[in-house]
This record gives sequence, structure tokens and C-alpha cells, in this order.
Amino acid sequence: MEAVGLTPVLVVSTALFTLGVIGVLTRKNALIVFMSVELMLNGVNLAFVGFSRQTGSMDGHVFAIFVMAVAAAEAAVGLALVILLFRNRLTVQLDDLDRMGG
Amino acid sequence: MPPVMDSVALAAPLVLLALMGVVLMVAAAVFRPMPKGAFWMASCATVAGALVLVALSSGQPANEAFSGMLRMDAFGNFFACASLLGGLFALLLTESYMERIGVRVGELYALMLFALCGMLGMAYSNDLMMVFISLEVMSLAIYAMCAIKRSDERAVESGFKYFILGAFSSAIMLYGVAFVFGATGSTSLTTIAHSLASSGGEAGTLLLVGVALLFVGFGFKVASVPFHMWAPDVYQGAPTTVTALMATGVKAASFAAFGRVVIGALGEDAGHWSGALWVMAAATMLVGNLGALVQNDLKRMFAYSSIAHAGYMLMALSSVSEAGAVENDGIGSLAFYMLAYVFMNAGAFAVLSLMTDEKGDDATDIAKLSGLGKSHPWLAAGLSLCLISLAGLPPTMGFIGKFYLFAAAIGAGQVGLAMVGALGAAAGVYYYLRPMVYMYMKDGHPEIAQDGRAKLALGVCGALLVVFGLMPSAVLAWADVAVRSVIG
Repeated sequence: MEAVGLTPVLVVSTALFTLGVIGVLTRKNALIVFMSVELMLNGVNLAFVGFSRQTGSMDGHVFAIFVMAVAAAEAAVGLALVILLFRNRLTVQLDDLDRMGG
Repeated sequence: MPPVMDSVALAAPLVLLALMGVVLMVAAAVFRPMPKGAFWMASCATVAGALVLVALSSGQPANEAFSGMLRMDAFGNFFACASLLGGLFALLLTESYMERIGVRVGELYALMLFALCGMLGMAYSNDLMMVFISLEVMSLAIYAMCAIKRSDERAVESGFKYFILGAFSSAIMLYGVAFVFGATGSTSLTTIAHSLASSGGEAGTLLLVGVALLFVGFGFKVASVPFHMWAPDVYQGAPTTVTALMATGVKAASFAAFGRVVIGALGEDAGHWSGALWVMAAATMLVGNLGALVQNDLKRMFAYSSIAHAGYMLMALSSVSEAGAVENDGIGSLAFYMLAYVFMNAGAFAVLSLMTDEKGDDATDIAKLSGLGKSHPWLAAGLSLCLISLAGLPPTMGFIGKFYLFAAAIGAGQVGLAMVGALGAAAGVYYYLRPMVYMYMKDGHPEIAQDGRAKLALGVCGALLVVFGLMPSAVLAWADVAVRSVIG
């Protein structure tokens, strides 16, 4: 099997990351926005692993594991906050978050 | 001793905070309802203990722990002290404030210790991956603390907004870390500095993109323009004592990590980035100061004020990176100003935390200060002192700090940036003096809670602001040593 070079890995990684950014910026549902952030993190992971393969060090692989652990912790806090939000407001639409200002 | 134990001993303050955080988290699950005073006492003692440990290690030469992940040096010690002091002051206000708003959960104190542990990690971390993990340890605890009053719509909204934007920005920052890793083959700040030095300061595209993404991530964390839009809502909605921690400890820790990356890792190559820092600093100072002018809620005003102050500190960072760092006399101004900023904000938030109505909701509208000068002359005097310091007027630490900040910028040839800053600071005088007009020139009956510990915090902050304002040389020397220790 022929080894995949760095470029395709980076292309996929950038595509994932960019999709995530677009999702965060355009979607209005809190859960979808949260999923988009996870998509961004997965793009990052792919980049770490790709770079690590290129340089031949294991560091990037280890970082990817770290990122997954942090993402899991983030999901725990984030979903708890979404549930709290729903209990208080009966909605998870970001447009409805307007209780503060001026 | 095996090497890992050496590292644990070096990182004793972090280990202490993390262990006590776990202990309190378990205790909070066992002892329900929360016994009055015990959690508060335990967390105060822990933070004080961590401060002592940091102070004890301050004479030591720089030392690396956990295979270079942490670098225990004067820079880290300085910012760790700033964060821990911010945490200690916030803790002083916490218990009686939480009692007033009806939150009685021991987990809050555990989260506070975790957040402080993360802040210390950011102050000492010498590796981009460590920066990221410490940042998350700190942020995840703070998100939860924002929403600690679960029935309060605004608090939950604030926590959620902070979470979404925080997670978004740390993902961006992490992509930056990945690119820097790809460009230099390492995430260690020391190795990055070496590889930049050996390439003669010639930065490749990968590195440029990576550092740009890092700057976006840090920009979010320190609330610099154009990544500042979360700050007003989050500051306003979060419980006042949590806001106090955000305005002091979080800011100090974020600038510690940002400063170490800019000065320590990119130092050789900083000329490339000082343009970006220049624009960020100028925009942040202007938007922060102008935004604060029209605010009537004090917490919201302090949010814009914190944006403006992030701008001043970015100016310091920009001038350090511009002027071949070492020759610059103003190099310590960033650290000195950070410490002053912690004291003046902690003092101001001590008064804000006393402003609750009979239902236990925050009543931080500026009009609620009317008549404070007559009914509570000492509180009014203390708050005025903090506001005068924030405005940068003598005889306070804020004045000395601003003086050195602007001197450093002009010394580095950034006269334009200093002028933008001076314009912003002039606008700042208006909105910092406005609460004083309400306190002393309008009549009213302010509802102010009684709390000896908040008064103690205010008293200590006020005293330190004046003492270090009149005799700044010792702190200035310490700040100078601290920042120079990163350049190595």
C-alpha cells in the first residue's frame, strides 16, 4: 500500500476545520454549534497526526490523545450547560439569548 | 529521588491546588448541605499555602519540570502570584455573596481551586500543548462557575456564551499549535525559539499561519478587539465574585501565557508580529474605552474597562517585541501593570459584590451608588481610590503602571500607539469618575450588604495601591527581573 503524503492529510484537516468554523458562525442551534466545535477539534487532531508522521516523532500522536481527553471534558461541561439553558428557557436557539445588554 | 518526584516537588503549588480541589470536590458530595465556613476556610488556606510555596521558590534559579513542560522561573512566579492574589481576593468576597444570592454548594470552592491550578499552569508552561491544557483546566472550571446559580437565566446564559466562544477560540488556538508543531517539529517554546534563531528569523508560511491562529486564540482569552464581544455579556451575567476572578486571575494567567509565547518563543522573530500586536492594541484600547462610556451597569462597564486594559497590556507586549527586548527599560511594565490591575479590580469588585437587592439579585446599576459617600464613607473612599487608579491618576499604582507603559511604548519608537492609548485613557477618566459623581454628588439610600471580609479585601487592595503607588521601586525591580527571566 502506498503511503499517503502530508498534503492530502492537511487538505482534509483544513476542510474539517473550515466546515467547523462555518458551522459555528452560521448555525443557530446550540447543539449544532457545539458539534461544529468538535469538528474543528477533529481537524486539529488530523493535522497533529499528519505532521507527526512527517517528522517521525510520536509527539503529535500523543497530543491527539490529549485533545480527545480535553474534548471529552469540554463535552461534559458543555452539554450540562445546554441542559441548564433548556430548563431555564425551554429553547436552545442562540438567537434567544438576549437577556443582557446596554 | 526519581525525576518525576523532582518535578512534582518543583510544581508543588500546582499539585497542592489540584489535590485540594479533588478533596473539596469529594467532600462537597459527602457533606450535604454544605457546612458553613469549612469549604471557604479550606480553600482560603490552600490558596494562601500555594502563595507561600511560590514565594519560597522565588529565590531559586530557573528550573524545568516534567521534561520541559513547565519552566519554574521568575516570570512564572510573578504571574502566579498575581493570579493567586486575584483568587484570594475573590475568595474573600465569595462566601457571603453566594449566601446572599442563595447559592450554597461546596463544589464552587473546588472549581475555584481547579481554575487557579490552571492559571498557575499557564503562568509556568513552557510548551504550547501545556498552555492549551492549562487553559482548558482553567476555562472549564470558570464556565461551570459562571452558571453556578442554576436557576438564574442570565447566569446560565453568560456561562453558555462564555463556553461556546471559549471552546471555539481554543479550537482555533489549537490549530495554531498544530501548525507551529508542523513548522518547527516541536511545541516546546525553547525549541521553537532555537529553530527560529537558526533559520535567521525567516518564517515560513506554515509558521506564519500557525502564529496568526495562536494570536486569535489568545486574543479571545484576553478579550482584545475584534474578539472581545463575549466579555460584556459574560461579565454582566456571571455572579459578581466569579466576574472578579475573571477580571483578575484569568486575565493575569492569559497574559502570562501570551507574554511567554511572544517574548520567549518568538522573541528572535518578534518584528514580524509586532505589526499585528500594534493593530490589536490600538483597536482594543479605543473600543474598550469608548464602549465603557455609554454603560450604566457597573459590571458591564468593568467588562469594557477590562477590554481597554487588555489593550494597554497589548501595547506593552507590542513595545517589548519591537525594541530588541533586552535594551528596553520598560520591559517590566507589562508585569507591573498586571499586578496593579489585579489590585484595583479586586478592590472595585469587593464593593460591587455588596450591591445586591433584597431578592438576592445583583443591583449593580450605576444609579444604585447614589448617596454612598454619605451612608458608607469608607466604602466610597475605597472604591474611589480603585477608580482613580484605574483611570491612571496619581498617587496610585495605576498611575505608575501607566507611566511606565507609555514610557516603554515611546522608548520603543511606538509614539503613534502611545498617542492612541493616551486618547483612550482620557476617555477612561470620564467613565471612571462618573461613579464618583453618583457616590458624592447625588442623594439616595444605597442598599449595601454588610460583610467584613469584603471590606478587608477592599482595605488591603486600597492600601497596596497607595503604598506601591508611592514606593514602586521594589515591585518594579521584581517585574523587571521577571520579564527578563523569559528572555534567558
